[in-house]
Amino acid sequence: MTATLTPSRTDAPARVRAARPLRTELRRGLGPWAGAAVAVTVLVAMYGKGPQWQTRWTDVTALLHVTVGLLGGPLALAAGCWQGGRDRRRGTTELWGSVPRSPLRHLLVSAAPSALWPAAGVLLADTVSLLATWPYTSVGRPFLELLAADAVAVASLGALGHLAGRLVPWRLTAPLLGIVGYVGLAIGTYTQSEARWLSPASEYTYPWARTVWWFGPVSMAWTAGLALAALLAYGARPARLRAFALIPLAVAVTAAGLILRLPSDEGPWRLDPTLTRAVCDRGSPQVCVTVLDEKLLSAVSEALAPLNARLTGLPGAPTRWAVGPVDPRPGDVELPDPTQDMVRGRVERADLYRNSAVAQLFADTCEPGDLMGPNAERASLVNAAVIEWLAPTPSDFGPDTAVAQPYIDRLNAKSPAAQRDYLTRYLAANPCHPDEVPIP
Amino acid sequence: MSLKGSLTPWGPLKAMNPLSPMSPLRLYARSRALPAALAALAGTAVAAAWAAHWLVSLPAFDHTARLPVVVFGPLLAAAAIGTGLHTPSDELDRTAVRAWWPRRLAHLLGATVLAVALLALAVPGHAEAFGAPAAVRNTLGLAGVAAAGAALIGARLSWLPPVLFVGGVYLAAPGEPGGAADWWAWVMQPGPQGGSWTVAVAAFTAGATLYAWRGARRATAAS
Repeated sequence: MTATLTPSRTDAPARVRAARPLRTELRRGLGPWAGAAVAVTVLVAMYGKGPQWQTRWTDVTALLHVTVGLLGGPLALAAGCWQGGRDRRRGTTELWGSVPRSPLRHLLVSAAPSALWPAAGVLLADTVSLLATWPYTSVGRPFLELLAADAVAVASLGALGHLAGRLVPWRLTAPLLGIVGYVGLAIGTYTQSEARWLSPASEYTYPWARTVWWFGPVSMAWTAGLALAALLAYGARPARLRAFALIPLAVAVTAAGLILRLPSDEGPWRLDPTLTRAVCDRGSPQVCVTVLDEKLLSAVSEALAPLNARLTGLPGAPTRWAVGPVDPRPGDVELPDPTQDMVRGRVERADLYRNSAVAQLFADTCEPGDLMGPNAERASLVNAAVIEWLAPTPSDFGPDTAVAQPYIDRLNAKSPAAQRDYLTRYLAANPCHPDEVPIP
Repeated sequence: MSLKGSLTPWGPLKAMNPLSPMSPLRLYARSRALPAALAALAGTAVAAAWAAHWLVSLPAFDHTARLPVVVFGPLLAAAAIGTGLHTPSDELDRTAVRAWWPRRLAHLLGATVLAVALLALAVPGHAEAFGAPAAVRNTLGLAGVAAAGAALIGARLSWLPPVLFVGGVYLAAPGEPGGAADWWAWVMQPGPQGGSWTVAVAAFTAGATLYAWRGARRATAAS
């Protein structure tokens, strides 16, 4: 019996797993929750703006950049600040000073969750948003280098928040830092100076553009350099080693210098001519979009079909409806950007889009003194009636057109041939000269 | 020397002036760091008043530009109120003979009323669009969320639920008021929308009840 209770001498000694402080830090505490909070917050905001970005890589990148910068950045600051005050709340600050691990190593390990988890949350939100966009984009690829720069910026803010939490022993530091961070980043989006491109939340949207190749890496160097310099300046011991903080600081300053040399208006974005090639349907008038929106062409053509049926073959009717910066030709009429009305590849409010197209068709710029005279009011009513007859204004949108109803009734009462005849005369007239506008 | 007089070196407890340096009220205020919380509320109101004035004075903006002020001012005030609910002697407090819930409720109500009054004064005029009513509603609602947070995750981290909520809805809320957003994005509504007031008052009532009943959750050393 005794033999069964005594361990055999040949048994291997129990293996003792080496302590892995980084793994332990990453798995416990506020870090995973901070990452989840960043991911959920960004995804909720993206969901709320859903129809606006699910069509083009530039749109989703731009909105992710602003959302991550304005929401993820302050959250990372606040969560990092809370994490940074942990040792003080536990009363273990002096204890850590007695362990053989260097203070810098301890700082880097304890700051890792503050930096890495919010960045992981950002990358998760980026991945979900990009996957939701993928089926509806036509050309190009996601701007991964810019999204990576956003994640690095959030990680840097988390690390800086961690340092603030270590330095300032006040309960309100974390929420205050988050709110002040938000306000600071939000103010940056309103400015028009070159310095706004240093901000992780700067806003720019021009769909037919690409960034200069170096902007992503240099942005990473700017934000990561600042955070690393602050960590080294705080944690390096003995004091003379703090001079090493000057290296990442120099990198950050150099990167900032490069960014500040960008033009203030378009920043790092440059027009990409390969994205502006026209792609047209076979209708009359033709509907043309840029190659960037090639997948939208059939949906836009379908939305405009009832309008085109009335305009087909009429002298004075547009030859092309042009969406975006396609090469202009005589007879082109520029259409509003359909992506504002697109929901997952289809035009959600086709009636509204048609109405906008007709408004654009008759959007002549009249000179001062035009639209005057005794017939001005009548001409204005006729103009409204023609727009309403071609593409009725949705009941929940725009001005009330009841005053033009008598003219609309007259147009509806005409035979198809008479309607086409009237529309030909109307398109030939100058709507800015009231006397020329034909009465239905 | 009487027995009563010999209880303490400075005299019997009942003879204490309630405003003397060692009065229970003063001790309570110090234990909850109330002076710092009150200073934070006053600072928040001053900053909110300045920010509202500055935004309205910008050439391209009008009174509707005060949205960030009536959201982030109350958010910071709620954080100050929530973190002020922390007690460093939770176990000792719970051994007291007297019920704590009236004191907890009075503490929360007093701080909230002060914050509401200060922030209402910070955004004068145009009550219909991001003025005093919106500031009052958001302060009430977010203070309630912070109080509920204190009861559920601890007072020191009670700022997190309102910060997460505001962060989530701030960019997701539609530009036009009304509709379902009255309810889920109540903090972003301009002012008189009934649904937003319902949610804010319900949040405060629920949060205050929960906090008064349970108190702040005892914080572990790690949190």
